[in-house]
Amino acid sequence: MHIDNSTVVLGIESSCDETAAAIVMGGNDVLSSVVSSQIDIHAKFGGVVPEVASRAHLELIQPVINEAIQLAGIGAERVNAVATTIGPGLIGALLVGVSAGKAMAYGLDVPFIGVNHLEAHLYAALLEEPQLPFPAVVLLVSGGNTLLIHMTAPGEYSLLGATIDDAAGEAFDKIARFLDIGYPGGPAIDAAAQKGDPKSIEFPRAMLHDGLDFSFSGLKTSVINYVRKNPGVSSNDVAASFQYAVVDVLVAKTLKAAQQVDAKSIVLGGGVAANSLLRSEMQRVGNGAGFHVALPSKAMCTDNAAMIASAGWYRLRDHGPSGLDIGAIPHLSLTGSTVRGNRGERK
Amino acid sequence: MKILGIDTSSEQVSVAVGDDESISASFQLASDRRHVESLIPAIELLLRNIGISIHELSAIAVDLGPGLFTGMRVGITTALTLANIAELPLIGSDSLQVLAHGVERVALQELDDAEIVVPILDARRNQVYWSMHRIDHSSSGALEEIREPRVGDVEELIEDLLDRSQRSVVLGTGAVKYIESLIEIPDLALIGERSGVRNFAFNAHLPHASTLVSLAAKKYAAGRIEGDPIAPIYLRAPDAEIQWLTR
Ligand SMILES: [Zn+2]
Repeated sequence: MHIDNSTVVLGIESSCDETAAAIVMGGNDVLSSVVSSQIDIHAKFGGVVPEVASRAHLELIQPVINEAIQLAGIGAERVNAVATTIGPGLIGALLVGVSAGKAMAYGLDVPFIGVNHLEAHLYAALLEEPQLPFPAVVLLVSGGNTLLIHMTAPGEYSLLGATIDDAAGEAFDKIARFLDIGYPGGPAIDAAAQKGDPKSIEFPRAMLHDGLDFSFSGLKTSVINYVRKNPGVSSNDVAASFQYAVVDVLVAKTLKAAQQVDAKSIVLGGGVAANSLLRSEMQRVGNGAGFHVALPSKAMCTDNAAMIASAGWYRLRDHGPSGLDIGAIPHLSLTGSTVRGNRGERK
Repeated sequence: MKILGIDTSSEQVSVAVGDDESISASFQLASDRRHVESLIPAIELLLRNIGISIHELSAIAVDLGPGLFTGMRVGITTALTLANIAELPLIGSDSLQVLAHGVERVALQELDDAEIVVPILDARRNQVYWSMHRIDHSSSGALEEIREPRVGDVEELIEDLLDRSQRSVVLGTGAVKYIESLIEIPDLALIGERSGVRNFAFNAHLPHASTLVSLAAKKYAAGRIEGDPIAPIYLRAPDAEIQWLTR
């Protein structure tokens, strides 16, 4: 199959609590991107409940796919390939998207491409900035991941650093729940921090000077201990100081990585990349050190299917399709190679 | 009429194509819960073997559960998507009904003096899903549902059977698992026990796509397919919902 700028890919994403579908042409021309969030459904539980998420995905997947096709102004028969997140993520949630994606591909008689969700986040910046200067250092921060990645070209990357315990987004969620300031944690902390003083409490910057790995569990513990010892403290000040400590470490390590690999660009990705302080600090510090800083729009940072379709287009062009016998892989790692299935292997 | 049946509500993947007269092709994979891996390749192989495409089908039949949640969702999502693309009607059946009607294939003679068929599926945590079907001996063993699918402790099922005190045939993974307790009930037999038949042509204790197709074909032929809600039958709220409601 010839893959070019007119190749239309349907992307499907269901790895966590967003049911999403998108139509992308030629790898970066987004014709439609529909995201149906389950935030309201999970809010009362204070976190994503896998079985609840799986049930909601099943109800939403078909309408979301149909809407994406409709909004793109095309018919389903114009779809040349179907790309779907196969991992990492919640197994029950992934299974709904993979079932729909494979059935779409089979029914339309087009190639199926299993996409690594983390890899797709790396393409989010490219979608909005196709001429992004490489090599780039990508900071991928979400509820499940905190990764520093060296990307030399689309599809070529290596891991520079990762969290050794909690992901940054996980720390935001836990602190937001502890402070009882709302769900989801990221936006709640962000909003509370706007009203607080980030320099009011000096929280530790863990592992700031030891390599490119992260650790956030110590910070989380010290925030909790501080609030227990100072019950009268303003939640806004705690949120602002906590956020400042997280952002400080994220920015410093990203800068260090960029200098280490002699990158041209610094790229942000993942749900936490929607955090306003992280965005402004990364921009300020990155530009100050002479790097191009790519900040994808908030809609592109958080989970969406346009990035899945985009990653699928590159994967199809460079590696060919996946087999229809492929399964969902809940613990798929960024450098995992099992995204093809048996029959999708090519020479 | 050609109907594709998809049954992934148990640990097996079962697919079949047929009409109200006969089944053209079917097969089962004891899939070890690899539903998502096996289902599309199974459908592909099945349709290729009988030389038709999904666009030549008249309808798609799907098992809505109760059963394995993940398996059910794979089957239902696949059926919804294929039906959407090929613009086909979808016909749903519950897994217990499919299981009950499977007896027609394996052991009609065993039903001679039985009054009800009770399909029972294992729901784990000492619970089972079950429903009840009356046998109409005047119309060659046709089944009529007299108790809707439900979930409950094994003790509740036993009480239900004792209350009814009818000659009953039980079948399904739940019947097999709890037969030691069930067999204490008077006039109750596990299917296959009386005739000594243990090795059925297919596993009579799991719902089967060919039965699903036969059931759907009857509905299709009778024009009773519009407005069938195609949604999973869980019978059980997610644990988190239960904890939240009882907190
Ligand atoms: Zn993500």
